[in-house]
Amino acid sequence: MVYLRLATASWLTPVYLLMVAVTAVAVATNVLKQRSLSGQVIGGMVLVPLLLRLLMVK
Amino acid sequence: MWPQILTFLSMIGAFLLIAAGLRQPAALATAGAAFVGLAASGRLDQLHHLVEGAFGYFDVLLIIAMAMVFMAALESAGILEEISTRITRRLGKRPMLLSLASMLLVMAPGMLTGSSTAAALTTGRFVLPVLMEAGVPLAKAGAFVALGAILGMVAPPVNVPVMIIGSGIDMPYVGFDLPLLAIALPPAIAASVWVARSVRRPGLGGRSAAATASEAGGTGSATEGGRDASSRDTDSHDDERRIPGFKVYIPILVLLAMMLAVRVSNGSVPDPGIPLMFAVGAVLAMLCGRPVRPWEAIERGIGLALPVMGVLVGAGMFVQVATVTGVRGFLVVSALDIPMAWVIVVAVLALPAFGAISAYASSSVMGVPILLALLGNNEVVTAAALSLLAALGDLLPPIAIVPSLISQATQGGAQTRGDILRRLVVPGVLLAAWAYIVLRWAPAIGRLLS
Repeated sequence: MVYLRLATASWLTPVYLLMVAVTAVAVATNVLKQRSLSGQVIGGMVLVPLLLRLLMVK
Repeated sequence: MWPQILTFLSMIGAFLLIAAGLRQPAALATAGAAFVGLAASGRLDQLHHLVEGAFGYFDVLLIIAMAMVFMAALESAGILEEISTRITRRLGKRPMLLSLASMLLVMAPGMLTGSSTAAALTTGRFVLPVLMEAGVPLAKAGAFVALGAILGMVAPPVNVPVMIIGSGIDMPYVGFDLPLLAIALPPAIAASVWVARSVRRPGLGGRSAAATASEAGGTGSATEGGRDASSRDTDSHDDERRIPGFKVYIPILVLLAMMLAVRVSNGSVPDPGIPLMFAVGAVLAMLCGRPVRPWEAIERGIGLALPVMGVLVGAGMFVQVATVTGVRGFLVVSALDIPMAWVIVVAVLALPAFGAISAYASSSVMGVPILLALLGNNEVVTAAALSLLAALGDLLPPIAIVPSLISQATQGGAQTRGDILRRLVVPGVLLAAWAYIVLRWAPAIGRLLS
């Protein structure tokens, strides 16, 4: 309930959450296709803030 | 003060070891340095600062992600190729106009995304074979594209180093368009004149960028001689791939219109944010060119943006740890102690040197204290000039990210990379001198522009 209230706080919030979600899924797809370990670690690093923002934890 | 010095040295040491010694990406080097900083200061129980820091440049991260999706959509839809072709056909017989248009074309992705790698990876790839076909030697053409890529990174509307420096001192990204243009335009024109003098083969007007690119094969061996049958076949095949009409310009024009409307409306037009503008532009690009598989374009764009996004996350962690451990305060206090004339010299040397690892990390770690030391020296013009110095780092070894990407595009290997780097020595020194002049006379330049 709290999440829904926060996610619809303004008309732009759900649009931005959609962009963050699309970016997070695209990053995850790229990580799964990466062959180098460093590329996978970088993808994981980028996923952390994206997922936390998507969940509106931070 | 000693604990801060030791922490700072251990962070810089770890950074150099991971980036230059172990040859790992700048993102891992900055994040690794942040972790070492926490360990060196006895704060290993405070790992949450790494997560806190990862959010430091979240807004910039989203801008880069959406901007690269926009560029990938333009490229997948054939719009970049079509615009390159139109420019070459129209300006092929005029060397000066051809080089100016090529410069604008190379700069455009950097201007829109704030990333020099975006420019090198997208329009840079189209411009390089066109210049080689016009008779410009490979090394010089590569150097030209590299200069265009970093000048595009500096030019408005999006300059990520300025955004990073600004966020360090709570300075909004407002009023930078004119100073950034004044800093990027003269070198861009000078580089165009430099390359126009090497154009030896006017008459490129009939060729298209795609045909030229495919003929050059990315190897630097542009075909000599006239039009043979296979060449005509390539051209006719290429003509079939053309996108007719005005619609190829719609995504870029709508994007620029949205950016302009928000800036000139004084708040009467609601600001949807730069990421959303790029997202709208990407959707339009998918509709205005050749058929595109949307998810493939998104995935490719994010894939291209991932290394830069990683650097932003790592730089955020680095800055957060530097702040928590007192290293940032130590740097600021030390910078404030240096006389202003020497601060400028330090800026000219330190920002590109640190930028050789990452222009964004350099903006954050060196740019912020240097700007604080230069307070009162017209902060807007000063930050703009500092962004040019940080961007210069993208041309410097050991990573030399932009020349490396260009030599990869030509499949030229280490020899081509070395040739491009040698060609960049004089322009690089001149750019640093230009940044020095702007920093030294920033108040006067600011008054001139206001």
